Amino acid sequence: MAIFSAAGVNIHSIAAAVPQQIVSNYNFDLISPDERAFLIKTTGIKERHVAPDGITTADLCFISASSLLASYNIDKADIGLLIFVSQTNDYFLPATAAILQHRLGLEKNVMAFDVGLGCSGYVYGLTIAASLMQTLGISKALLLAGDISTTSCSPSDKSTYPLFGDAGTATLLQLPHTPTQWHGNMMTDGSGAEAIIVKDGMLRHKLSEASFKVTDSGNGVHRTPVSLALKGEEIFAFSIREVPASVETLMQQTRQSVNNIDYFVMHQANRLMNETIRKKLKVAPEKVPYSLDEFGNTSSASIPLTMVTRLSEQLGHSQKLLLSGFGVGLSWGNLLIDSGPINCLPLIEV
Amino acid sequence: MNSNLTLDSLIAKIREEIDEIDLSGLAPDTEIRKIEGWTSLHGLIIMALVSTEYGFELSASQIQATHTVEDLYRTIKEKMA
Repeated sequence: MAIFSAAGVNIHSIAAAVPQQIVSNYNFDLISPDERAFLIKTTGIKERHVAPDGITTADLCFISASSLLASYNIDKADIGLLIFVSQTNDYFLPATAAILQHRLGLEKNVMAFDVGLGCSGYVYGLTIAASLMQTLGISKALLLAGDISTTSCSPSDKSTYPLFGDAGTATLLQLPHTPTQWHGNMMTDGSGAEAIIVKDGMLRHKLSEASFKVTDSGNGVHRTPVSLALKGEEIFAFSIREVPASVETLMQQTRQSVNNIDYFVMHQANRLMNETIRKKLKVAPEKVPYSLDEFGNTSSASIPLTMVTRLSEQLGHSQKLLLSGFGVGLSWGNLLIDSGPINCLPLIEV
Repeated sequence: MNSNLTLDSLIAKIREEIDEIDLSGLAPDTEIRKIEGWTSLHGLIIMALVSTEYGFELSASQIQATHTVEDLYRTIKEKMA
Protein backbone atom coordinates (compact mmCIF):
# COMPACT_ATOMS: atom_id res chain seq x y z
CA MET A 1 0.00 0.00 0.00
CA ALA A 2 1.21 3.46 -0.84
CA ILE A 3 1.63 6.10 1.79
CA PHE A 4 -1.72 7.69 2.58
CA SER A 5 -2.46 11.15 3.87
CA ALA A 6 -6.03 11.52 5.01
CA ALA A 7 -8.18 13.60 7.29
CA GLY A 8 -7.78 12.25 10.78
CA VAL A 9 -10.02 12.31 13.81
CA ASN A 10 -9.52 13.38 17.41
CA ILE A 11 -8.42 10.77 19.88
CA HIS A 12 -10.60 12.01 22.74
CA SER A 13 -9.66 9.51 25.42
CA ILE A 14 -8.17 6.10 26.15
CA ALA A 15 -8.74 3.56 28.92
CA ALA A 16 -7.00 0.24 29.53
CA ALA A 17 -7.90 -2.71 31.74
CA VAL A 18 -5.72 -5.61 32.82
CA PRO A 19 -6.39 -8.61 35.07
CA GLN A 20 -5.23 -8.20 38.68
CA GLN A 21 -3.34 -11.48 38.65
CA ILE A 22 0.39 -10.92 38.07
CA VAL A 23 2.69 -13.70 36.90
CA SER A 24 6.37 -12.93 37.44
CA ASN A 25 8.99 -14.17 35.03
CA TYR A 26 11.34 -14.35 38.01
CA ASN A 27 9.29 -17.43 39.02
CA PHE A 28 9.35 -19.09 35.57
CA ASP A 29 11.04 -22.29 36.78
CA LEU A 30 10.95 -24.14 33.47
CA ILE A 31 14.40 -22.63 32.88
CA SER A 32 17.43 -22.16 35.12
CA PRO A 33 17.83 -19.00 37.24
CA ASP A 34 20.66 -17.83 34.97
CA GLU A 35 18.60 -18.33 31.82
CA ARG A 36 15.65 -16.61 33.51
CA ALA A 37 17.76 -13.55 34.34
CA PHE A 38 19.04 -13.45 30.77
CA LEU A 39 15.50 -13.81 29.36
CA ILE A 40 14.28 -10.89 31.50
CA LYS A 41 17.27 -8.73 30.58
CA THR A 42 16.94 -9.44 26.85
CA THR A 43 13.16 -9.29 26.45
CA GLY A 44 12.67 -6.62 29.14
CA ILE A 45 9.62 -8.52 30.41
CA LYS A 46 9.62 -8.87 34.21
CA GLU A 47 5.99 -9.74 34.77
CA ARG A 48 2.65 -10.02 33.06
CA HIS A 49 -1.00 -9.62 33.98
CA VAL A 50 -2.77 -12.89 33.27
CA ALA A 51 -6.53 -13.38 33.08
CA PRO A 52 -8.09 -16.20 35.08
CA ASP A 53 -10.61 -18.48 33.37
CA GLY A 54 -13.91 -16.67 32.98
CA ILE A 55 -12.54 -13.26 31.97
CA THR A 56 -12.55 -12.61 28.24
CA THR A 57 -10.99 -9.90 26.11
CA ALA A 58 -14.48 -8.49 25.61
CA ASP A 59 -14.86 -8.18 29.41
CA LEU A 60 -11.68 -6.09 29.68
CA CYS A 61 -12.69 -3.94 26.71
CA PHE A 62 -16.21 -3.53 28.12
CA ILE A 63 -14.86 -2.24 31.44
CA SER A 64 -12.52 0.14 29.62
CA ALA A 65 -15.27 1.44 27.33
CA SER A 66 -17.91 1.83 30.02
CA SER A 67 -15.39 3.70 32.19
CA LEU A 68 -14.69 6.12 29.33
CA LEU A 69 -18.36 6.70 28.61
CA ALA A 70 -19.13 7.34 32.29
CA SER A 71 -16.03 9.42 33.07
CA TYR A 72 -16.58 11.88 30.24
CA ASN A 73 -20.40 11.87 30.29
CA ILE A 74 -20.58 10.68 26.71
CA ASP A 75 -24.09 10.42 25.30
CA LYS A 76 -24.28 6.81 24.11
CA ALA A 77 -26.61 7.88 21.31
CA ASP A 78 -23.67 9.72 19.72
CA ILE A 79 -21.65 6.54 19.19
CA GLY A 80 -22.11 5.46 15.59
CA LEU A 81 -19.26 2.98 15.18
CA LEU A 82 -17.79 0.22 17.34
CA ILE A 83 -14.76 -1.77 16.19
CA PHE A 84 -13.46 -4.72 18.22
CA VAL A 85 -9.88 -5.58 17.28
CA SER A 86 -8.89 -8.95 18.68
CA GLN A 87 -7.87 -12.51 17.93
CA THR A 88 -9.56 -13.85 21.07
CA ASN A 89 -13.26 -13.42 20.51
CA ASP A 90 -16.07 -14.53 22.82
CA TYR A 91 -17.54 -16.96 20.29
CA PHE A 92 -16.86 -18.52 16.91
CA LEU A 93 -19.89 -16.45 15.95
CA PRO A 94 -21.53 -13.90 16.30
CA ALA A 95 -19.11 -11.00 16.13
CA THR A 96 -18.01 -9.89 19.60
CA ALA A 97 -18.55 -6.27 18.53
CA ALA A 98 -22.30 -6.98 18.33
CA ILE A 99 -22.29 -8.41 21.85
CA LEU A 100 -20.41 -5.36 23.11
CA GLN A 101 -22.86 -2.98 21.42
CA HIS A 102 -25.62 -4.52 23.52
CA ARG A 103 -23.59 -4.80 26.75
CA LEU A 104 -22.57 -1.14 26.51
CA GLY A 105 -26.19 -0.07 25.95
CA LEU A 106 -25.47 1.59 22.64
CA GLU A 107 -28.20 2.40 20.16
CA LYS A 108 -29.09 -0.07 17.42
CA ASN A 109 -27.97 2.31 14.68
CA VAL A 110 -24.32 1.50 15.39
CA MET A 111 -22.03 -0.02 12.79
CA ALA A 112 -20.23 -2.74 14.77
CA PHE A 113 -17.76 -5.32 13.53
CA ASP A 114 -14.67 -7.29 14.47
CA VAL A 115 -11.19 -6.92 13.01
CA GLY A 116 -9.09 -10.06 13.44
CA LEU A 117 -5.63 -8.60 13.83
CA GLY A 118 -3.08 -8.76 16.63
CA CYS A 119 0.11 -6.73 16.99
CA SER A 120 -0.70 -4.34 14.13
CA GLY A 121 -4.37 -4.11 15.13
CA TYR A 122 -4.44 -0.77 16.92
CA VAL A 123 -2.86 1.11 14.03
CA TYR A 124 -5.18 -0.62 11.55
CA GLY A 125 -8.16 0.00 13.83
CA LEU A 126 -7.45 3.72 14.11
CA THR A 127 -7.10 3.98 10.33
CA ILE A 128 -10.31 2.08 9.62
CA ALA A 129 -12.24 4.08 12.21
CA ALA A 130 -10.98 7.45 10.99
CA SER A 131 -11.73 6.57 7.35
CA LEU A 132 -15.28 5.47 8.13
CA MET A 133 -15.96 8.43 10.40
CA GLN A 134 -14.76 10.91 7.80
CA THR A 135 -16.51 9.19 4.90
CA LEU A 136 -19.83 8.52 6.61
CA GLY A 137 -19.93 11.49 8.96
CA ILE A 138 -19.93 9.42 12.15
CA SER A 139 -19.38 11.82 15.02
CA LYS A 140 -18.10 9.41 17.69
CA ALA A 141 -16.63 5.92 17.59
CA LEU A 142 -15.28 3.35 20.02
CA LEU A 143 -12.18 1.39 19.07
CA LEU A 144 -11.81 -1.60 21.41
CA ALA A 145 -8.52 -3.46 21.13
CA GLY A 146 -7.06 -6.28 23.15
CA ASP A 147 -6.34 -9.93 23.59
CA ILE A 148 -6.13 -12.66 26.17
CA SER A 149 -3.13 -14.25 24.50
CA THR A 150 -2.11 -16.25 27.56
CA THR A 151 -5.01 -18.62 26.99
CA SER A 152 -3.21 -20.13 24.02
CA CYS A 153 0.34 -20.09 25.43
CA SER A 154 1.59 -23.43 26.72
CA PRO A 155 3.12 -23.02 30.20
CA SER A 156 5.70 -25.57 29.05
CA ASP A 157 6.85 -23.46 26.10
CA LYS A 158 9.69 -21.15 27.05
CA SER A 159 9.52 -19.45 23.65
CA THR A 160 6.02 -18.03 24.21
CA TYR A 161 4.83 -18.39 27.81
CA PRO A 162 7.05 -15.69 29.42
CA LEU A 163 6.34 -13.15 26.68
CA PHE A 164 2.59 -12.56 26.65
CA GLY A 165 0.18 -10.71 28.90
CA ASP A 166 -3.52 -9.89 28.76
CA ALA A 167 -5.21 -6.51 28.34
CA GLY A 168 -8.28 -4.84 26.84
CA THR A 169 -8.48 -1.17 25.88
CA ALA A 170 -10.99 1.38 24.65
CA THR A 171 -10.28 4.49 22.61
CA LEU A 172 -12.96 7.11 22.05
CA LEU A 173 -12.65 8.92 18.74
CA GLN A 174 -14.55 11.95 17.56
CA LEU A 175 -14.89 13.91 14.34
CA PRO A 176 -13.00 17.16 14.73
CA HIS A 177 -14.25 20.58 13.62
CA THR A 178 -10.96 21.12 11.82
CA PRO A 179 -9.39 17.81 10.83
CA THR A 180 -5.64 17.38 10.91
CA GLN A 181 -3.88 15.18 8.38
CA TRP A 182 -2.94 11.64 9.36
CA HIS A 183 -0.16 10.00 7.41
CA GLY A 184 0.37 6.28 7.38
CA ASN A 185 1.16 3.04 5.63
CA MET A 186 -0.20 -0.46 6.21
CA MET A 187 1.51 -3.60 4.96
CA THR A 188 0.90 -7.35 4.83
CA ASP A 189 2.98 -10.42 4.00
CA GLY A 190 0.98 -13.62 4.35
CA SER A 191 3.98 -15.71 3.31
CA GLY A 192 4.96 -15.43 6.97
CA ALA A 193 1.60 -16.67 8.28
CA GLU A 194 3.18 -19.63 10.06
CA ALA A 195 5.69 -17.48 11.93
CA ILE A 196 3.06 -16.84 14.65
CA ILE A 197 0.15 -19.24 14.52
CA VAL A 198 -2.38 -21.24 16.49
CA LYS A 199 -2.91 -24.10 14.07
CA ASP A 200 -5.90 -26.06 15.31
CA GLY A 201 -9.42 -24.99 16.19
CA MET A 202 -10.80 -23.35 13.08
CA LEU A 203 -11.71 -24.76 9.67
CA ARG A 204 -8.27 -25.49 8.20
CA HIS A 205 -7.46 -27.79 11.09
CA LYS A 206 -10.59 -28.59 13.06
CA LEU A 207 -10.32 -29.66 16.69
CA SER A 208 -9.58 -33.35 17.12
CA GLU A 209 -8.05 -35.55 19.80
CA ALA A 210 -4.64 -34.83 18.29
CA SER A 211 -5.21 -31.11 18.87
CA PHE A 212 -4.58 -31.64 22.58
CA LYS A 213 -1.56 -33.92 22.33
CA VAL A 214 1.59 -32.32 23.71
CA THR A 215 4.64 -32.62 21.50
CA ASP A 216 8.26 -31.92 22.41
CA SER A 217 9.81 -29.59 19.85
CA GLY A 218 13.11 -29.58 21.75
CA ASN A 219 14.91 -26.79 23.61
CA GLY A 220 12.24 -26.38 26.29
CA VAL A 221 9.31 -26.15 23.91
CA HIS A 222 6.35 -28.41 24.70
CA ARG A 223 3.03 -27.49 23.15
CA THR A 224 -0.12 -28.75 21.47
CA PRO A 225 -1.56 -27.75 18.07
CA VAL A 226 -3.99 -25.44 19.92
CA SER A 227 -1.08 -23.60 21.52
CA LEU A 228 0.48 -20.48 20.09
CA ALA A 229 3.60 -21.37 18.10
CA LEU A 230 6.16 -18.68 17.45
CA LYS A 231 9.22 -18.80 15.20
CA GLY A 232 11.35 -16.30 17.05
CA GLU A 233 14.10 -15.88 14.47
CA GLU A 234 11.63 -15.32 11.62
CA ILE A 235 9.65 -12.74 13.57
CA PHE A 236 12.79 -11.00 14.72
CA ALA A 237 14.25 -10.85 11.20
CA PHE A 238 10.94 -9.58 9.80
CA SER A 239 10.51 -6.87 12.43
CA ILE A 240 14.00 -5.39 12.32
CA ARG A 241 13.98 -5.48 8.50
CA GLU A 242 10.49 -4.24 7.65
CA VAL A 243 9.55 -1.84 10.44
CA PRO A 244 12.47 0.59 10.12
CA ALA A 245 12.22 0.46 6.31
CA SER A 246 8.48 1.22 6.35
CA VAL A 247 8.91 4.06 8.86
CA GLU A 248 11.69 5.56 6.75
CA THR A 249 9.49 5.37 3.64
CA LEU A 250 6.65 7.07 5.51
CA MET A 251 8.95 9.81 6.74
CA GLN A 252 10.60 10.44 3.39
CA GLN A 253 7.41 10.54 1.36
CA THR A 254 5.63 12.86 3.77
CA ARG A 255 8.77 15.02 4.19
CA GLN A 256 8.82 14.41 7.92
CA SER A 257 11.71 13.57 10.19
CA VAL A 258 11.88 11.29 13.20
CA ASN A 259 13.65 14.19 14.93
CA ASN A 260 10.37 16.09 14.96
CA ILE A 261 8.38 13.29 16.57
CA ASP A 262 7.56 13.75 20.23
CA TYR A 263 6.91 10.06 20.92
CA PHE A 264 7.43 6.86 18.92
CA VAL A 265 5.02 4.36 20.47
CA MET A 266 5.80 0.88 19.23
CA HIS A 267 3.98 -2.37 19.69
CA GLN A 268 5.57 -3.92 22.76
CA ALA A 269 7.15 -7.09 21.38
CA ASN A 270 10.41 -7.49 23.22
CA ARG A 271 13.05 -5.02 24.25
CA LEU A 272 15.86 -6.34 22.07
CA MET A 273 13.68 -6.17 18.97
CA ASN A 274 12.25 -2.73 19.76
CA GLU A 275 15.64 -1.29 20.68
CA THR A 276 17.12 -2.57 17.41
CA ILE A 277 14.31 -0.81 15.52
CA ARG A 278 14.82 2.36 17.57
CA LYS A 279 18.58 2.41 16.98
CA LYS A 280 18.18 1.82 13.24
CA LEU A 281 15.80 4.77 13.03
CA LYS A 282 18.05 6.88 15.28
CA VAL A 283 15.20 7.86 17.58
CA ALA A 284 16.29 9.19 20.98
CA PRO A 285 15.61 6.70 23.82
CA GLU A 286 13.52 9.21 25.79
CA LYS A 287 11.02 9.36 22.91
CA VAL A 288 10.34 5.62 23.00
CA PRO A 289 8.25 4.50 25.99
CA TYR A 290 8.14 0.90 27.18
CA SER A 291 5.45 -0.86 29.18
CA LEU A 292 6.49 -4.43 28.46
CA ASP A 293 8.45 -4.70 31.72
CA GLU A 294 5.13 -4.74 33.56
CA PHE A 295 2.70 -6.17 31.01
CA GLY A 296 4.65 -8.17 28.39
CA ASN A 297 3.36 -8.39 24.84
CA THR A 298 -0.34 -7.56 24.97
CA SER A 299 -1.01 -7.81 21.24
CA SER A 300 -3.28 -5.07 19.86
CA ALA A 301 -3.61 -3.52 23.34
CA SER A 302 0.09 -2.78 23.69
CA ILE A 303 0.15 0.68 22.07
CA PRO A 304 -2.86 2.18 23.92
CA LEU A 305 -1.75 0.43 27.14
CA THR A 306 1.67 2.08 26.80
CA MET A 307 0.03 5.45 26.14
CA VAL A 308 -2.17 5.14 29.24
CA THR A 309 0.51 3.85 31.60
CA ARG A 310 3.60 5.69 30.37
CA LEU A 311 2.46 8.88 28.62
CA SER A 312 -0.72 9.84 30.42
CA GLU A 313 0.56 13.25 31.53
CA GLN A 314 2.37 14.10 28.27
CA LEU A 315 -0.70 13.23 26.19
CA GLY A 316 -2.62 15.95 28.01
CA HIS A 317 -0.90 18.34 25.59
CA SER A 318 -0.74 18.25 21.79
CA GLN A 319 1.93 15.86 20.54
CA LYS A 320 3.31 14.53 17.29
CA LEU A 321 3.00 10.76 17.65
CA LEU A 322 4.33 7.96 15.52
CA LEU A 323 2.49 4.70 16.25
CA SER A 324 3.85 1.45 14.86
CA GLY A 325 2.34 -2.02 15.10
CA PHE A 326 3.95 -5.18 13.71
CA GLY A 327 3.70 -8.93 14.03
CA VAL A 328 1.22 -11.75 13.49
CA GLY A 329 -0.02 -12.03 9.92
CA LEU A 330 2.52 -10.94 9.05
CA SER A 331 0.97 -7.52 9.27
CA TRP A 332 2.46 -4.12 10.06
CA GLY A 333 1.60 -0.46 9.88
CA ASN A 334 2.62 3.03 10.93
CA LEU A 335 0.56 6.08 11.67
CA LEU A 336 1.82 9.63 12.11
CA ILE A 337 -0.60 11.76 14.08
CA ASP A 338 -0.63 15.34 15.30
CA SER A 339 -2.75 14.70 18.33
CA GLY A 340 -4.69 17.20 20.35
CA PRO A 341 -4.91 16.62 24.10
CA ILE A 342 -5.81 12.98 24.84
CA ASN A 343 -7.47 12.08 28.14
CA CYS A 344 -6.10 8.90 29.69
CA LEU A 345 -7.93 7.20 32.54
CA PRO A 346 -5.82 5.56 35.23
CA LEU A 347 -5.12 1.88 34.55
CA ILE A 348 -8.05 -0.33 35.55
CA GLU A 349 -7.26 -3.63 37.28
CA VAL A 350 -9.99 -6.24 37.17
CA MET B 1 27.66 1.28 10.17
CA ASN B 2 31.00 -0.48 10.71
CA SER B 3 32.94 -1.22 7.54
CA ASN B 4 36.19 -2.37 9.24
CA LEU B 5 35.23 -6.00 9.51
CA THR B 6 37.84 -8.53 10.60
CA LEU B 7 37.41 -11.83 12.37
CA ASP B 8 38.99 -10.38 15.50
CA SER B 9 36.75 -7.30 15.49
CA LEU B 10 33.68 -9.51 15.03
CA ILE B 11 34.69 -11.71 17.96
CA ALA B 12 35.26 -8.60 20.07
CA LYS B 13 31.82 -7.25 19.12
CA ILE B 14 30.13 -10.53 20.04
CA ARG B 15 31.90 -10.54 23.41
CA GLU B 16 30.75 -6.95 23.98
CA GLU B 17 27.12 -7.82 23.27
CA ILE B 18 27.00 -11.11 25.15
CA ASP B 19 28.50 -10.80 28.59
CA GLU B 20 26.50 -13.25 30.70
CA ILE B 21 28.15 -16.39 29.37
CA ASP B 22 31.85 -17.16 29.17
CA LEU B 23 33.10 -16.32 25.69
CA SER B 24 36.77 -16.04 26.62
CA GLY B 25 37.57 -19.03 24.41
CA LEU B 26 35.57 -17.78 21.44
CA ALA B 27 37.53 -18.50 18.26
CA PRO B 28 36.73 -18.47 14.52
CA ASP B 29 35.96 -22.20 14.52
CA THR B 30 33.96 -22.29 17.76
CA GLU B 31 30.59 -24.00 17.28
CA ILE B 32 28.47 -21.25 18.82
CA ARG B 33 25.45 -23.42 19.66
CA LYS B 34 27.71 -25.76 21.63
CA ILE B 35 28.89 -22.94 23.94
CA GLU B 36 27.67 -23.64 27.45
CA GLY B 37 24.66 -21.45 28.24
CA TRP B 38 23.97 -20.54 24.59
CA THR B 39 20.23 -20.15 23.86
CA SER B 40 18.13 -19.09 20.89
CA LEU B 41 18.00 -15.59 22.42
CA HIS B 42 21.75 -15.30 21.84
CA GLY B 43 21.02 -15.90 18.16
CA LEU B 44 18.66 -12.90 18.23
CA ILE B 45 21.40 -10.79 19.81
CA ILE B 46 23.68 -11.73 16.91
CA MET B 47 20.93 -10.74 14.45
CA ALA B 48 20.52 -7.38 16.21
CA LEU B 49 24.28 -6.83 16.23
CA VAL B 50 24.60 -7.51 12.49
CA SER B 51 21.69 -5.16 11.78
CA THR B 52 22.87 -2.20 13.83
CA GLU B 53 26.62 -2.68 13.29
CA TYR B 54 26.83 -3.86 9.69
CA GLY B 55 23.63 -2.44 8.23
CA PHE B 56 21.75 -5.49 6.95
CA GLU B 57 19.45 -8.13 8.32
CA LEU B 58 20.25 -11.81 8.55
CA SER B 59 17.29 -13.99 7.57
CA ALA B 60 16.11 -16.77 9.86
CA SER B 61 17.64 -19.35 7.49
CA GLN B 62 20.97 -17.46 7.43
CA ILE B 63 21.24 -17.43 11.21
CA GLN B 64 20.23 -21.10 11.33
CA ALA B 65 22.97 -21.92 8.81
CA THR B 66 25.55 -20.08 10.89
CA HIS B 67 27.45 -22.62 12.96
CA THR B 68 30.72 -20.84 13.69
CA VAL B 69 31.97 -17.26 14.01
CA GLU B 70 33.77 -17.79 10.71
CA ASP B 71 30.46 -18.67 9.02
CA LEU B 72 29.02 -15.42 10.35
CA TYR B 73 32.09 -13.47 9.22
CA ARG B 74 31.79 -14.89 5.69
CA THR B 75 28.08 -14.08 5.48
CA ILE B 76 28.65 -10.48 6.58
CA LYS B 77 31.65 -10.10 4.27
CA GLU B 78 29.63 -11.34 1.26
CA LYS B 79 26.81 -8.92 2.03
CA MET B 80 29.20 -6.00 2.42
CA ALA B 81 31.13 -6.79 -0.76
